[in-house]
Amino acid sequence: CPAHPVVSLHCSTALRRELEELREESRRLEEDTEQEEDAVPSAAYVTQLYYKISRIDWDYEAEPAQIKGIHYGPDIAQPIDMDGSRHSRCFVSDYLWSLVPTAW
Amino acid sequence: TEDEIILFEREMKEFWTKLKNIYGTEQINQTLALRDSCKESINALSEKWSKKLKEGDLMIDKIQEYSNEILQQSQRIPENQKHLTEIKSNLNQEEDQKKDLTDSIQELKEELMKKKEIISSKNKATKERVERLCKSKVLFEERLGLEIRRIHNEQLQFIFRHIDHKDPDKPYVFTLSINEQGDYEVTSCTPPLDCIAEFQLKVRETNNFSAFVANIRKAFTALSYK
Repeated sequence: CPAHPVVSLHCSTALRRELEELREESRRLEEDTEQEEDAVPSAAYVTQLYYKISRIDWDYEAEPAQIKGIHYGPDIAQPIDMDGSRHSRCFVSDYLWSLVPTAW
Repeated sequence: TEDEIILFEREMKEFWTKLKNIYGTEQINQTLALRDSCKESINALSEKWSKKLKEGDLMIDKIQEYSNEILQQSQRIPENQKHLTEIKSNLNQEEDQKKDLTDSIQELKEELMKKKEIISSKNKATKERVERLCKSKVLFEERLGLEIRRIHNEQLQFIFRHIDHKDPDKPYVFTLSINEQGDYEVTSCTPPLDCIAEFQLKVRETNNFSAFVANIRKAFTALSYK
């Protein structure tokens, strides 16, 4: 003869469902974060490559037109500070590349 | 005097007979009447008591019925008590379970909130990092006049600009890959350079990638003067 109080049973089921849903959400969050972390390495790779080639580190706080940074040479570190608006693009590039040693 | 005696005896007999008749009849009548009235009384009482007896029987039956019912109910009492104890115990169990579940849920909710916060700040940091990296890439491209691209077959394309002062946007391109032996290999060069093979050799020897790229640019520049 089923004389169990029905209200209590339902409460328990609803709570279990809520618990399960929360656990599922937690799992999903973990998966999502794992996926999102993949975007960075690709962008970082290219930047690292540029540094490996040029040994130049830019000053990101400077004004956009101000070409400011440091070139880390084999012996000394040399500051770079040019007003980009006063020189041609070719001049700027030629100058910057002149800092990179061609000796093997 | 014998005659007197006989007469007296006859008178006595007559008197006695007369007396008997008179009283006897009255007696008989009285007795008869009494008898009849007794009979009536007895009948009435008989009926009355007969009814009472019947009622009594009915009551006895009813009492028996009730007794049986009481007995049955009493038998059910320990059953019901047992049942009640079970139900109470179940209720307690469920209360405990419910509390555990509620606690777990609360814990999880807090955990989730923390996780979300961490993720949110991680995302922010990642976003900032990616933005910074993009900015960095743009600065290098513009200022060095060098664009580096990944293309099919895991090759890297190096596109120089700002080489030809008369045509700064003219591209000078070479493509690099790592061959099966794990060595640098220039798979294409446009416009072609004579010294490219030499440079390839040198970079395999010295692994000086920086000089490799710088020398190629120098060679392209020399080309542009011609």
